[in-house]
Amino acid sequence: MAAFVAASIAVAAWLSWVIARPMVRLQEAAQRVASGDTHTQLNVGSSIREVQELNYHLERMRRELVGANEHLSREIREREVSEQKRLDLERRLLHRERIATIGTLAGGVAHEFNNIMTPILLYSQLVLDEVPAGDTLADYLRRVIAAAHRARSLVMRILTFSREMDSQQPTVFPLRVPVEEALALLREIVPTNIEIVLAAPDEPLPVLGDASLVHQVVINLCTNAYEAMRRSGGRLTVTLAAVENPDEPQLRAGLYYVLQVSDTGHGMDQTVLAHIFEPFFTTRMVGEGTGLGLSVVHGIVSSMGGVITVRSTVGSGTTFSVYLPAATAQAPAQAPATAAGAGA
Amino acid sequence: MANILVVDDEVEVCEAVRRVLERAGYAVTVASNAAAGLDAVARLPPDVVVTDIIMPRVHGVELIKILRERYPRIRVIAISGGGSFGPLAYKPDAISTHAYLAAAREAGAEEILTKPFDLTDLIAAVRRLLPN
Repeated sequence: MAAFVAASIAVAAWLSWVIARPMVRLQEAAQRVASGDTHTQLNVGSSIREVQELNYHLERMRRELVGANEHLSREIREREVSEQKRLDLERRLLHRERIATIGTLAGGVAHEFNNIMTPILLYSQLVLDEVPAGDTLADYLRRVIAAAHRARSLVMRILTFSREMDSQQPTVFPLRVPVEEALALLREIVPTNIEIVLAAPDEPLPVLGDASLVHQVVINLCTNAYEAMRRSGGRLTVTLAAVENPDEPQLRAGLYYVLQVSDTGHGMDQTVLAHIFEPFFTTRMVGEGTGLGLSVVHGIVSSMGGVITVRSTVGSGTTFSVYLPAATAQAPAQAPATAAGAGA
Repeated sequence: MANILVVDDEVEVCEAVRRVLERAGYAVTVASNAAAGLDAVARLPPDVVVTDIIMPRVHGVELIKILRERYPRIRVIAISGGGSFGPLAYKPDAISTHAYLAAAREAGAEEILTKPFDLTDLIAAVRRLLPN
């Protein structure tokens, strides 16, 4: 009898070991899944077929759950990205529209201004012809005329911004050439606490437009860069590279050359960034800058069918990227006209 | 004495150009629009017409075309202040100073001056067209 009882207890213990233990483990695993750990596989070793099947079905459910989760989070991510892209595009379009409006306004003002300046200049020169050369009045008049000439060149720059003034005859030229020329000039004037680095491939990178305007773009961007590092010193990096189908919503697909000007200066916050391409916007003191530099750069880049973008972090620096369409043998002279319409 | 007609809707521009040219020894008439300019030409055909390009109603380029057609011997100097103007301001891509000046040249203007121009440039342009 005692032997029977002992045997029964042993069988019961064995049964409980064989059945209950895997069940407990399955329960634990199910709880893990329920509490969010969906990535641990359910693998409860058991010789009992029912337990194996239960394990198999639970594991299948777990995998389906993992798949559904991943699908959902991928979808959410995609929606977030496309929403971000839409907002970004909307912001850029609004910005472009505002720049175009200001440009149009500037063009209208320029027309009136040039008419007003004509009699000022002509009468001053008429009077100067009547006044003896050594007379104080002659000196005064020469100053008036010099000021009128300065006003004239200011209006020319506004017109460049508003794209009313087309570059004379666009030609194909290697992007590297005006960039190197501008940097040679800048090395003369930039203080030694600022290091200038050029990283460019050996290829010529041909673009269509006016090389002297690209020269102006480089000078403008680099001058801003070194102004941002004037006190602290730092590194001014200019890079040239080819990019196929850049991820810029304003650009059509195709081959572009990118001119990047980066500094390690004080950077700009969002409020400043939102206005930097507008004419007369400046953060400098009165008399230190006209606030036309970047608006002129914007106008030049647009007239070449390109875009300019900017990234900046307060305290660590700014990078301007100028995308210019690569000149192809197929479409030489037509590009700027169509591009100007597409530009900002 | 050579005759010059100045056409510009800006009275002050007309007057300044008139005085500069008179002082240089030319007989000058002024007109404030293309129609008045054509009337003046019909009364006394000048040797040179100095015309603005962007003017209300009849555009300077139109005036140059008419002059070329009816008075092929008259020489033409086009002057332009650039920028956009009137309703064209709403289509900044459609027109540009460069396009205006190119159109003026194509229509038959022999000299082009961008406002504000220097007195010496104006006289030099007239003398190139009237060597004697």
